[in-house]
Amino acid sequence: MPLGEPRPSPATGFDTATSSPGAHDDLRSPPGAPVHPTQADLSERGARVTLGRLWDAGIGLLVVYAAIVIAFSQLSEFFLTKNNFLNILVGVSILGIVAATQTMVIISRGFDLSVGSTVALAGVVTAEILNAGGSDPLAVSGAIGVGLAVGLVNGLLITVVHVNPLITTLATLSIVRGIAYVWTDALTQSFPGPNLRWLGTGRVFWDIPVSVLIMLAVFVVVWLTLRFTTFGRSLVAVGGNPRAALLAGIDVGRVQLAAYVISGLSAGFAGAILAAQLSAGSPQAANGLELNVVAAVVLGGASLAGGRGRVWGTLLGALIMETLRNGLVLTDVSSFYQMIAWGAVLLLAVVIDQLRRGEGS
Amino acid sequence: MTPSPDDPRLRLSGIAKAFGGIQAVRGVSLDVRRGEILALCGENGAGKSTLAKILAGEIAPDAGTIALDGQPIHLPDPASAHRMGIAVIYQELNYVPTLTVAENVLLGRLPHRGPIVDWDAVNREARAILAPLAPHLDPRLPVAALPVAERQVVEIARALSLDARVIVMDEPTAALSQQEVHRLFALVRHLASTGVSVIYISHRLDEVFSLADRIAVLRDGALVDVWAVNQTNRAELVRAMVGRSVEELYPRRESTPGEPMLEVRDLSRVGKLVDVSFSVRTGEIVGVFGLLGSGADVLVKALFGAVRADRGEVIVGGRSLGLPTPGRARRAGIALVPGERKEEGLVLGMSVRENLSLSTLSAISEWGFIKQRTERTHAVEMVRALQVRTPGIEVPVGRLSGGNQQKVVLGRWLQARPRVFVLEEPTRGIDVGAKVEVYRLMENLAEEGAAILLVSSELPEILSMSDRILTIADGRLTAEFRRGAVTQEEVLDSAIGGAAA
Repeated sequence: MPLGEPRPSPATGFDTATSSPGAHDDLRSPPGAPVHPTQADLSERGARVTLGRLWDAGIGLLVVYAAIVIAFSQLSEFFLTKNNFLNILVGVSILGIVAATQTMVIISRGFDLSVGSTVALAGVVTAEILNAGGSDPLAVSGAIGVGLAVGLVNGLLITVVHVNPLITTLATLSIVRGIAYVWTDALTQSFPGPNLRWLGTGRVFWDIPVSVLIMLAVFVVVWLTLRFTTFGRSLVAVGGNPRAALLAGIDVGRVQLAAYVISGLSAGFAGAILAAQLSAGSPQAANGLELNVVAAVVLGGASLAGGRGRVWGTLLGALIMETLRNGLVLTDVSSFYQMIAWGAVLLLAVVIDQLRRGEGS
Repeated sequence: MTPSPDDPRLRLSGIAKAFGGIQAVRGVSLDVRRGEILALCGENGAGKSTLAKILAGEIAPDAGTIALDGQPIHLPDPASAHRMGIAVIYQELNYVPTLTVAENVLLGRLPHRGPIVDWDAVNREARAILAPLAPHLDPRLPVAALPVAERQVVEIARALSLDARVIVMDEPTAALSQQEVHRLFALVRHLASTGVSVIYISHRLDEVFSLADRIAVLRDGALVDVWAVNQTNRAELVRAMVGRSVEELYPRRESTPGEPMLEVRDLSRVGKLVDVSFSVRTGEIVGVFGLLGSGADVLVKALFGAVRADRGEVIVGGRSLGLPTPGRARRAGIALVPGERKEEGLVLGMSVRENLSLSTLSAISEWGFIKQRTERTHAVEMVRALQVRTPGIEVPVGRLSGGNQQKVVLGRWLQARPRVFVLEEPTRGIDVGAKVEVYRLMENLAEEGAAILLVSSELPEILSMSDRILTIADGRLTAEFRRGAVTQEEVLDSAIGGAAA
């Protein structure tokens, strides 16, 4: 959302720059011609374009989400209740935290498939530390440490050895999940209830679950990073054109490495939260999470070719998927149909996006 | 309806083509006679390649007619151009690297018995086609195994094998060595003597004068003039191509170089660069000229650390960077304006503002946060200073014209206030007006004490802009010349020297 952008002038609305009078003449005019717009002119005319683009890109998802909510509220009396919405939010929190940081990875033209396994191993480590008598902070730190390690391995393999990100993280997906199974003999490791209760089922003002607040905080931080920081700008540049970014003097490798480390850290933290919610660390946890995460990011409008992505779009994408699941459960639709619906929504979203972009170019 | 011998081989009447709002070809009417070699000259963007693509059947003209031997023809696709006997050899090579030379030459019409390809016939035919051009070339080698120049030969052989009545060659010598150029010329003359008409597109004036019967000049999409080769001269041709005299094109200046600012010592990379050493002083413009594959491009990238050198040292302002990385080079004050603007210079999806600030992000930020207002102000100032013609700073940079995009890349580095500018083909593909502005900017920067390394394949540009000229061939510096004390031929000879020897 383009906070801080100058408002478009009401007279011209969301015109694109090419249709504005004189714009084309400017480009074609001979070198000596006076073509200097005023300062206000230069920054305002452009802002209108950005706002216009964000507008038409973000609004589509909101409409889809509203349609889903309206449809289910007609089909089930339990759907449109505060409790159910809190359920949806809790259900989306793990997915959301991981998807927020995955957005950064995908914007930088990367890919991190190892997040689901990292969540599981981090949960297992959380449980093991608690069962060995460790404190809550130590357990959470352990989980985050797992994420840090996986992120570093991914990032170094990709940026130093130049292994393809898809292959690298597919391999670490398998290895990390395997470690979780070996460590636990494939058994879920429960831990005593009081541990980490604040994190798993704690609620603050208006009964908002702590995990939901954490998720929102992660989204805000990622948004601030992408929108306002040099690192965020570098991510977009690296994803948009890695060669140009390198030749502009940006340390491309370091930027990509940071993206994978951040993705790992957030997966580790999400693992601790999931373990806290379940009072257990399970090696099967978050199986296939990586696909939902990538789906949410793409649904949100990110390009797998890099250089483009919207973190709030990712949140909406994650919400759409979780709401759809929740609604279908409430309306007693079999989980097999849920799979079909899930895939259909994903396809629909990317097809619309493709068509929209086709028109633009 | 037999074609009369008086009809020209090819007659273009009122050919026009626009892309978007830009008129690439404006009402070109041109006759090409039987057995004639017609040179088509013009600056980048003058419409030469568009005309070639129209003749190839690759793009359809908006207006105008084409007649071959007096018969009006229609070229809806490349296959019909082939059937009519019009072959176009492009600048960009179109071969399948994993297939053999013979397969590429005969692609789409391999000799066969029933469904079985007759490999003996394939290799025999290919050898026959290649014989006059490159007798040593083994048709059974995969094209990927050949050096670039020989791949071009394969491309030319393919076009020749079509029994063409008209052959269009779009800058065919860009990748060829001197010997290969001579062989190609002999071949072109031979073809012409058998009645084939050749349209030879080039901006290399030496080639044009030694090969062509007539010379046609395009400027801004329109045909400016056509001369018999002995009725014109180089100066007249240049004036026709650029629309102004050379003196107006290149600003002259008195240079008083100071201390060495950029020093390069023994920069080497296996197979690409051999012990390259030179220096550029403050206020000095040093030109580097090399043919394709000479290593000039590698030198540029190695200097900036975008290609890793094996050995050597880069020193900026007396401080050694060792072997630079892009980050270190930038911080030391080296600016790189790369040759491939869209692939290497710009992030096309980003706005003008974002592209302008890419190399100064840390300077305009606090605690990692970009100071929004500062960024915007800088962008507006730079757009004004360089007269970038853009509707606004938030417009995606991909919408700007080539010249204005180049100004954005330059502007990015100007904001970083570098001490050394490395400019690779800074005027490639931009119109004459923007060229002059880039030259003026270079002069101003040099006057303000910047050290400028100009790497270009445009000889007139190198000769007119440089205080000193270095030539590079096979990864080695082969000669050094002073401004004014050298001719195009001498520079070209030194640049070819290594490759031909």
